[in-house]
Amino acid sequence: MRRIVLGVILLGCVGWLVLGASDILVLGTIDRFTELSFENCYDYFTWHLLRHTTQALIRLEPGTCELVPSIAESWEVSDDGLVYTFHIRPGVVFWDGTPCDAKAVKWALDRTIRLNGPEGGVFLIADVIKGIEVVGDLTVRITLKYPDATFLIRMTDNVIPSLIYAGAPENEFCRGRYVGTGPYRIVELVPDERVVLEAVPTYFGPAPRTKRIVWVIYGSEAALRAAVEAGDVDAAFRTFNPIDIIDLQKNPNLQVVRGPSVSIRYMLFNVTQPPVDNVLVRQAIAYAVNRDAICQQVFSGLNTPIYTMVPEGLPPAGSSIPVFPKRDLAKARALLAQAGYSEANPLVVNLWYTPTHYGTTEADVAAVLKQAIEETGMVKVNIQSLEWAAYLKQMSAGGFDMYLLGWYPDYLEASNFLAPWTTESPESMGTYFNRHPNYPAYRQIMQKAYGTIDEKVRAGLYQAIQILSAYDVPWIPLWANNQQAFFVAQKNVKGIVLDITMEAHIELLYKE
Amino acid sequence: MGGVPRYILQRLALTIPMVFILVSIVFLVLRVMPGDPVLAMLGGRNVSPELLAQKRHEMGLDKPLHIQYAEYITGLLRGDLGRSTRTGKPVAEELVGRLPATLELAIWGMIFAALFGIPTGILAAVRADKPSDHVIRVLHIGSFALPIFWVGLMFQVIFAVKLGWLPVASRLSGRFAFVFQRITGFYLLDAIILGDKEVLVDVAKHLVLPGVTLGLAQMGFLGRVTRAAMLEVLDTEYVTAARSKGLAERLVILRHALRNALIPIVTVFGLQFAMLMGGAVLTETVFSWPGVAGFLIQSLYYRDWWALQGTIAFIGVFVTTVNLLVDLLYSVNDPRVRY
Repeated sequence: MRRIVLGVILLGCVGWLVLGASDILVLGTIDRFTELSFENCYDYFTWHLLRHTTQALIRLEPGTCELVPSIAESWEVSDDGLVYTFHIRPGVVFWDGTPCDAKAVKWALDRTIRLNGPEGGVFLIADVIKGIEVVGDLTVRITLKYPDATFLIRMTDNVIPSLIYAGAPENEFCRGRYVGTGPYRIVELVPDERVVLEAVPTYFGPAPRTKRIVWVIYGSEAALRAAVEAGDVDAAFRTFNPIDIIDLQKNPNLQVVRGPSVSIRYMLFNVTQPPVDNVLVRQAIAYAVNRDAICQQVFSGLNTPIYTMVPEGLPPAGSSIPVFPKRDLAKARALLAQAGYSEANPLVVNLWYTPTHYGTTEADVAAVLKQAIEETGMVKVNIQSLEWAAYLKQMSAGGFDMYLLGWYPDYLEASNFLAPWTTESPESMGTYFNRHPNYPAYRQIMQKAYGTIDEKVRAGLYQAIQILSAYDVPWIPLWANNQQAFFVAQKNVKGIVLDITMEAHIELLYKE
Repeated sequence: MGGVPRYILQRLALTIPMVFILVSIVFLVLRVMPGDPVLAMLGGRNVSPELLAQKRHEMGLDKPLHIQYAEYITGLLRGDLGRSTRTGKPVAEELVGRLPATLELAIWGMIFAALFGIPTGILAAVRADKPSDHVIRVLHIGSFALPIFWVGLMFQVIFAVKLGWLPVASRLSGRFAFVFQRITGFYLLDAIILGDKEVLVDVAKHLVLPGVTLGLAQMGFLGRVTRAAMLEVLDTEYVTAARSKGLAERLVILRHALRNALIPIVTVFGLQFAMLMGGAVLTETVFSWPGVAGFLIQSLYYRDWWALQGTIAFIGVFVTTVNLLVDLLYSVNDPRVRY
């Protein structure tokens, strides 16, 4: 009898341990999903959903962001850097049991590249891939058009067009019609309301810590804050107001975790547009801006000043060097005088911003910048604003002289923080840097970097671009946007891992 | 043909050109507004002129304006509202998905408004110029003078964050997402069909704060209209005659006065209900309510022309339909009204 009683107690304890951990986690966000098409979407939350429902050939290890095997268990690169051979892990299956073999990998990548939706980021892989061949049941070979040292990073799950899936329509955007390789599948998608995810048993990796995840989509930062404070959600991620984060940090019932941020804000110049076509003017403004004032006055100290475009911690190691000068009004004045301006003949320049796309703080940022630059006594700044759609139109038409913009990387490599405004898309980004006399030098260095596998050498080349940029000033890096790197959770939520992917690694989260 | 069917046909004949004018104005205004929908959609990164041209071609934006207009109108006549550039889904599907949320909120808001607005309006009229009338009038004015978003935020802080009685926002707690089944889109009805008491309570709790917030503003206005209409009727001879016949005051007010005062009240009630279709923006935003108004705002922000055109046309049709129904209700309420 005693044995039976003990057995029952033991079973109860085991049961409590097994079932005690909740199998459902409710997360809050203000992000919205758009179109679940690998070939035609380009926004944070849709990418988050896609990358948690299927895998790429390789992935970035959460926390360290090292390249590690995923669907491919190993890979080789040819000596000329043009051919990548991936060996697929045996036994990987899609949710429906279909094997994920070399044919499936080729089909998915070919389809994504072929459909190449205008709203997607397919160019991130399509521009460099020449062809994909099946060379064995579990071996696939990808040939590049030119050597690209960033190719492996582009082939991780961080870049959605590189994801492998099946079951999508052959010739139309998939819009959620696909089967993936796990760890989750989407059970319900209600626009602007919630997304429900459930773990799948077919996933080849470690089982997610929580079986069921519900993302509740809130309409505003204020509602998100209230929801996590009230306990309506177990955790909340992206995006809080700075002041809310500071308040939440004081709440003893919550844990506020800050991860690294690779989201940056900066000022750009159209280098062909007077008066900022004069490098002395751009250099003077670089000396005059007051990053500390922006971070303290507008963001309550939550965001931090930056002095280069490349965030720290981004591969290749050692790429980031703070090349832009700290504030020095005397030097700013000297440069302005050299450019022919004086207090009697001040420089008149426009500062453009967009009032809602980057949150509600943008007008304040513009005001602080205006005040800082005008403190030289030799500049008059006219603040101008346009809503996002009109802003983009005028920007790409070259209609701005000096303007504010923000960047969240397409892929996690230093080149993605240097090339877009200089060598990649200078016209659509509004800098028109392709008309700058030093443009060929930037292009040459960047091309050299793309072809350089050695990370140390590549980092050196990226440093060279940064040093050049501090002289040419096509941009002025302003602050790291840390707001999006805060994860706020109830005390019983564990497994929070934040890294430079700025992802909520939901498969690691659990509730005690 | 005569009577009601003829009247409906006459009204429909007026409604069609009205909606046509509305969608035409929206179509033109969107095209003169600053901002490029294609650039807004593509996000301004790595956008080559070829890609821009290709997308403009796909969306028909490279065609002359009159051709674009003709195509839009013919699509509209076929019931094709176009495809949202933001979500990639047909606009009609988006609206159908969001309409139950908006209607559910509007219904509860209007029920709250009617339950508190009409009786207090009657009371204020019956006790005109007495202290209770003054108090009620202040309440009425106050309720529609207070900014909705502020009231909503205060409710959230007090009843959700501080007291923990009610949820902050949204329509359903995340923990019930795996139990709940969306059948009609009216969550209260769906919860009843599901037969799960816990879910039903949860859904009802989610309706309280947004419903009351929305209803408060409507309540004040409805109360003011009720008071004014009742005051007018209470002065009439037939009310005096009813009183002199010795009828109980309750009967005089409810049967004789209120019934005759109902026409402006019903009109205002119907109009307010219809206007909530696109006018509940603030409540939907504060309470993260995924309705039609929120969709309209998001579409405006993204310069999603097709979604904007479709939603405004839809709201136009809805408002005119509700107006028509209100007009038809007059004859039910007042035998003197004939069509």
